Amino acid sequence: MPRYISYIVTSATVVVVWYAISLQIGALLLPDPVSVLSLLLTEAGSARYWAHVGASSWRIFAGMGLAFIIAVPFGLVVGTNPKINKIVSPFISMSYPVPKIVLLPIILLLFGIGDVSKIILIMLIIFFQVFITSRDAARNINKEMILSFRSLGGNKLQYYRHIVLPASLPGIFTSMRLAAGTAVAVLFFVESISATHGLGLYIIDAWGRADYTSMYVGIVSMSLLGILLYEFFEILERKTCKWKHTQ
Amino acid sequence: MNSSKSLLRVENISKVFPNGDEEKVVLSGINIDLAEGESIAITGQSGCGKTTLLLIMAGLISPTSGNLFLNGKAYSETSNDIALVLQDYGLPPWKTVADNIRLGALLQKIPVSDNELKNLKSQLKIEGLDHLYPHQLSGGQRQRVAIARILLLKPKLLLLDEPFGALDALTRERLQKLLLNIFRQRGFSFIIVTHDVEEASLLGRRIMVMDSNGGGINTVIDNPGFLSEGYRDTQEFFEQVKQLREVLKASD
Repeated sequence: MPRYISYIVTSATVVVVWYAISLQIGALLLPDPVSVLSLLLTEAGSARYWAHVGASSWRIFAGMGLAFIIAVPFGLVVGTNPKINKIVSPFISMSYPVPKIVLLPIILLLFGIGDVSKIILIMLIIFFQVFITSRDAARNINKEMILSFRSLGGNKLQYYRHIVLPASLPGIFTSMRLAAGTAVAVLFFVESISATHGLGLYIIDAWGRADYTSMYVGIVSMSLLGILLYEFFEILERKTCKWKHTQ
Repeated sequence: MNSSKSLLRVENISKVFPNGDEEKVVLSGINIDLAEGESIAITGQSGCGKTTLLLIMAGLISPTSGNLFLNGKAYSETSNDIALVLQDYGLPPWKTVADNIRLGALLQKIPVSDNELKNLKSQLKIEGLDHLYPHQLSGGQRQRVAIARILLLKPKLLLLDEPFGALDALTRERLQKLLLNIFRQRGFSFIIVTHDVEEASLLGRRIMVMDSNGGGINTVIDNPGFLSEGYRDTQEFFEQVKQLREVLKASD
């Protein structure tokens, strides 16, 4: 089944189930999907709504982009150098389980309440997931392939380009897809604490005003942002790892 | 075919690996002299150090002691004159057949003409596979691609580690024949490591039998029938295989 058809079928199922639950528990707690989607269409015509979407999109793309740019090369270098891995891994093992979200007050103190602190927190949380996946993928490259490549006369840079990066890409994209969900959750948290724009603020503001239809418009928008991110990495993986998708 | 000029000299090579608090001697006192255009088959029981020796000759592992010479010059690292073919082909699964074949030439910046590529693919019977990935090929096709990649580099010495070990009997026989044909035409030298007695008897001008418990070369057997037409079906070949089997049994 083509991907877009499965999306249409899934969306239709969600709308039907949503409508049924809304009828059961009442529109006050769960507004029906038709009201929410028509308000979403109305909001899509307002600049205010797009300012919220733009602020959230920028923060999440910047946070995830930075995590990707820093974690992937670092993970690949650590994964292919046992000596560096021996030094770095204990620090990672100790710091990974620490819930980075509790660092928010410190990050706000250091970087203020603007975009920088929000981007840094998203980056910090995503970094570990992507770093660990990249490191492990690079560490598990088939030894015979490495020997064979070295015997062909490849230098270190060529080794990273032709072997390490392509071997690790499927794992890296899987971690980025998983990280998309985490990033949206972190985004909601940081925007609900301190922001002048953003979908997190949009949701919390509507909730405070008991405007549940608007609140669900925010929730749907944030979900769409997560789905778009997920799909973005899915498409990127299909483009760069064609070999994984051949029979 | 053989000339007396030495291509590879392995001089008193030994290799010791740490094994807990102790040391495990894998190779000791190995001496080999391979002439240009010659072939040697190295055989022995599993774990006797055949692959370690091959990787040392390829410059991929450092010996604990001893020296290696190629064309009279000492070397300790990989050389563009030496190529290695492994049992699991070493083809990156993310590269198409076309990219895999060109990989070595690309790394060594060797220009390759379309005509040369076409001829090579025709010789190895791998035409029409360019856009496929290694997992879409049969084992025999994968090994042909690995060999094509190596031949494009025009190495003086080919090192083969159980290259046909994972293939079925018929495919193995075809590829052995193909290797000998290319060897006749191109005149490189090769050393093949194999535990298959018949393969060693067919592909080695000389056959070296290694000690089973990490020692040196126990016996060197001359194989005068090597390369003769229809050798595999002769009584001489049968006797050669028999002799090698007896030496292997005695060295166990």
